[in-house]
Amino acid sequence: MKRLFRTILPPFSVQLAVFLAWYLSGKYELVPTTLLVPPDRVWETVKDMWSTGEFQTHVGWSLRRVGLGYLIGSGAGIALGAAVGISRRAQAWLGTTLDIFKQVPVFAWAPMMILFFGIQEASKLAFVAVACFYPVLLNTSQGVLSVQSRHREVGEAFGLSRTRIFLRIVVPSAIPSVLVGLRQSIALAWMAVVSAELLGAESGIGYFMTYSRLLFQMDGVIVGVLAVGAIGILTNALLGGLERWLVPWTKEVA
Amino acid sequence: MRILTTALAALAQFALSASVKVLHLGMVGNPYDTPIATGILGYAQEHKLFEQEFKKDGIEVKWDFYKGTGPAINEGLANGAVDITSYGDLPGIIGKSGGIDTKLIVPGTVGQNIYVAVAPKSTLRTLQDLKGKRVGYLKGTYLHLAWIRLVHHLGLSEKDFKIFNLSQTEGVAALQGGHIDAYVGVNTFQEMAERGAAKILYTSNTRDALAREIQGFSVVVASSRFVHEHPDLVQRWVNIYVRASLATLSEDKREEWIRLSAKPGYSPDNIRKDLGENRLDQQNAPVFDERYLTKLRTSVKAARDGGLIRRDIDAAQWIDRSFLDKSLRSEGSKAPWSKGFSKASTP
Repeated sequence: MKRLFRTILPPFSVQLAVFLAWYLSGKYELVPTTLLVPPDRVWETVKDMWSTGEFQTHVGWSLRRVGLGYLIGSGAGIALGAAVGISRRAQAWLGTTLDIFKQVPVFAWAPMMILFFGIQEASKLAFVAVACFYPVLLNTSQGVLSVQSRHREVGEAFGLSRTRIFLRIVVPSAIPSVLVGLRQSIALAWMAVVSAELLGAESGIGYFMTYSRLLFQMDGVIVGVLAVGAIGILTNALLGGLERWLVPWTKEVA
Repeated sequence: MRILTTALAALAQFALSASVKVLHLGMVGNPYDTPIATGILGYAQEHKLFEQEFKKDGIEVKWDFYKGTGPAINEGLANGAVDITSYGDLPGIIGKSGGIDTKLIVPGTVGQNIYVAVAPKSTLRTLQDLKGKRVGYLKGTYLHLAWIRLVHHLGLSEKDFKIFNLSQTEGVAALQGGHIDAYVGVNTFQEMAERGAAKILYTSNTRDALAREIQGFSVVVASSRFVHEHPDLVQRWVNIYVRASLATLSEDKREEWIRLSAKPGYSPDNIRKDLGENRLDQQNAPVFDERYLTKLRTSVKAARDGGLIRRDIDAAQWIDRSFLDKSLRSEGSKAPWSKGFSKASTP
């Protein structure tokens, strides 16, 4: 019981307090319940949406967009980050360009996205991918650059080939940093998908939240917030698991 | 004793706070971010009519412009930040249906047009050709509601099209890039059509019956709490509104009306053309006539059919005509409808 108190309560105490405040403010009408819809009515909405399949459709589409966009963006980030980190030549050719585009906020890309990718799935994936790209790129290149030179020297002293030095020494030392980038970008991917779904979408949690707000159906907005939050907790746990599996020797970051 | 005086002081404070110091008008923001009202309220704002009326009671009139337009004003009404507003029929209906306690106190103006535009090289000729095609508009606006009515008239529903939720800027880009086949938007398409940058497939800027049916209109709405607590203030507000609208009815005020409507930053030329053959006395008359009631009822029905509201609302229950009736009795003798206007102008 005492252990339960110590392990379960701390991470959830804030949520519990917020939930209680939410419930009580609705019960005693401390705030307009048209704006802050009470938990029981939100739960009814979730059940309704689940039975019609609406909930699954929206979550499914957003997951798909986040998943694919994240794979493309962070994949490109790892590849280019590693290239820039290892090769002086790559740094010379690409470094400045990457630095310039780094300054552009994701949202400023929207008109370009419409122009090049249209208003259907491609532009939404591109939007998410661009949002994921830089955190992974920067953390990867930094991870590769920060490999201590004496570790490389040991490898060289043992007569390892360049490929083996890369695989045995550079990759393992860079992984923790790459994972930090991957974690940062998954959160950004969710923010990006919500904005991407403002544009020409007919599905997805972002679309659903915006449309609900437009129609003054605040229960829908709250359902969206809760869904994004729940998925965020799950993906974070998933990445934590990946981290423990890949680099068991480091302590979990974040 | 001291406790008693403190308590009394607190009570007095409370009583004072219940009296109004600021009157909050929720206004629809414009793309130019200028704090300038248009139309009848634009006239009242320019001549500081409300300010003068309420100055004697020390009440400040605040014109709060909501960049998030109708939906944001609804949120303002719900949390008590807005006392009176003038906005589109659709956000008004959505708010009322969503449980915001409001009263429709004045009819507002009638006649906001829609333009269905296609790319200059498009081979589409009629609305019927659009069936199964990609159509963009901004959901939740009066354009959305007008579109629902328009396609119903064609014997179709929204499901017969592939709909994209796009703002007008995005819509124009998508139209030019060939990503959509048509966009349902506002009067700026007239000017684009003249430049050859778009073709207009349909506009409600005509005098036929269908156009009149689908044109958007505005509603002037007060929060029921405010009406209940300060009926006197609402009455005086409506009196001023009626006075302002009477000043905009005559056709020799047409250029003045166009100037007022363009004031936030719109092109006067576009507004002049968009006004078309609408008569000011028909679109601005502050009367709950049969034409307005029918429009309100069909708006509610279209919103319901299009899945924009979950609960039906009773138009007759929403309207509180007591303030307007009283105003018209005192101000209305100067009004054209006192000479049988209302009957004569109903098409």
